[in-house]
Amino acid sequence: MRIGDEYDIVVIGAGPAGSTAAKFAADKASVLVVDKHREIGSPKRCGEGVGIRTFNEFGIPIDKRFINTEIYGSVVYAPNGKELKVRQENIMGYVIERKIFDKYLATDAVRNGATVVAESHASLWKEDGKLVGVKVKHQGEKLYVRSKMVIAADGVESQIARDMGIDTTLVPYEADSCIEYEMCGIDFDEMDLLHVFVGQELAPRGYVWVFPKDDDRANVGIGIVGNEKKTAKYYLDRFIAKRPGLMQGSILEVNVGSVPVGGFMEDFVKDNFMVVGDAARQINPMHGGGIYEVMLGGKLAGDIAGKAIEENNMDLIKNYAKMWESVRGQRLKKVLKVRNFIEKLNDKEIDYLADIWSGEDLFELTRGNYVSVFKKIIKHPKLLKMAKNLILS
Amino acid sequence: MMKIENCYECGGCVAVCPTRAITIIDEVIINIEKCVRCGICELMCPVGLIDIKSIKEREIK
Repeated sequence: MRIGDEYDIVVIGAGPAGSTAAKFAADKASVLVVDKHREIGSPKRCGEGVGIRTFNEFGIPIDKRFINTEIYGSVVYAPNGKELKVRQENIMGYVIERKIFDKYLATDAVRNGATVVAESHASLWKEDGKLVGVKVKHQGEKLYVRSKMVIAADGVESQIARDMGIDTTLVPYEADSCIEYEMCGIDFDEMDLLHVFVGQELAPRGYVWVFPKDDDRANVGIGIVGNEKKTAKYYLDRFIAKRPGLMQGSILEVNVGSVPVGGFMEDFVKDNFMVVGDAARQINPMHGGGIYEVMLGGKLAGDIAGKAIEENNMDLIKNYAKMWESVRGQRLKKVLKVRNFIEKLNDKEIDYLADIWSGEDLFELTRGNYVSVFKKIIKHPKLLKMAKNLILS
Repeated sequence: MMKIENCYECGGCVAVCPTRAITIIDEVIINIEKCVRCGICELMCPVGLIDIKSIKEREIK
């Protein structure tokens, strides 16, 4: 493998954020992407449900190699069993195979001119306190790579940003603790919808998901608030044990992860350094999904990094945070307000809302459009007060 | 140094550790010198692999 001595930009991490940043930066600059894992795309920390807009907006082909199932809607199950269902005629999204999807994105970056190297562990290289590149450990070899700019896309751990003096330490309350089994041989209805089970008793501040990958195969996972004493595994195993249709299934894969759901960082940029993706908390705080968000963050960062190199003006990257704020950040802040409301509900209140809200209402909430949805709780004084406080906060 | 066995390397403990005592490079290691025994990583671990009590016990020995 050929890692050169010098690049305009080094991207650390080849997940969806890093590969997308690299692809767009490579339009105007020389780009190296390093990933510490031996295989790009693995291990995944993901339920693998991706909305159709991600494919449309980023021009990703509908390729059978990484698409498992077409998804036409979703069902949210309240604690009392009430189902809020949305089913559309058109495809709303897909359940994908992240291992292959992530490799496709890395391939796309390479075809656009970037160099990608797996099994490469990077740390920052500073001279006189200034960031001048990265040190890379690749297959036992230590290399020094000089670069004008570094983009950290190193995931939820986000150690690179901390090395740069940006405090990205998560508090457990702002993270979801997750585990997921890929199960096969299950008996579950409506395998063209995403299934979501909510309730504080079932999954504190989170939910259980069943995302179909075949007629008899699905990702069955859970996310719970990070400071819950019992483990995510405890809650997921308990959920499965109560459902014979799942209990009969085999386990093909076990995935474990943490999702930063406390809202995105404000401080994305420092000198010639940027943070993108999970490392920058670019995640929808309502459902913890983030493929679309991190790719958007990656595109914005990659575009502006390339432009800064082309114009030899590092100050340009300061605009990254502002651009993010206007294209996505403002909306995600609204979504966080909704989440702050929802997380305070007890199971009785969730059941009550399941009676007055529709599946479409829930969709609007995940997009941060809460005004008309919250108007429906006018007859419940306590919830109305909570909602009002939220809107005014 | 203490190695975490059977870890899935999800990085949750690394993300929440206030003293950066946990590193994942090929394997997951808690640096006992840096660890302040706050137990946040134990809470965060989705599968319950970290046991702060065992770090404290090691100290006594």
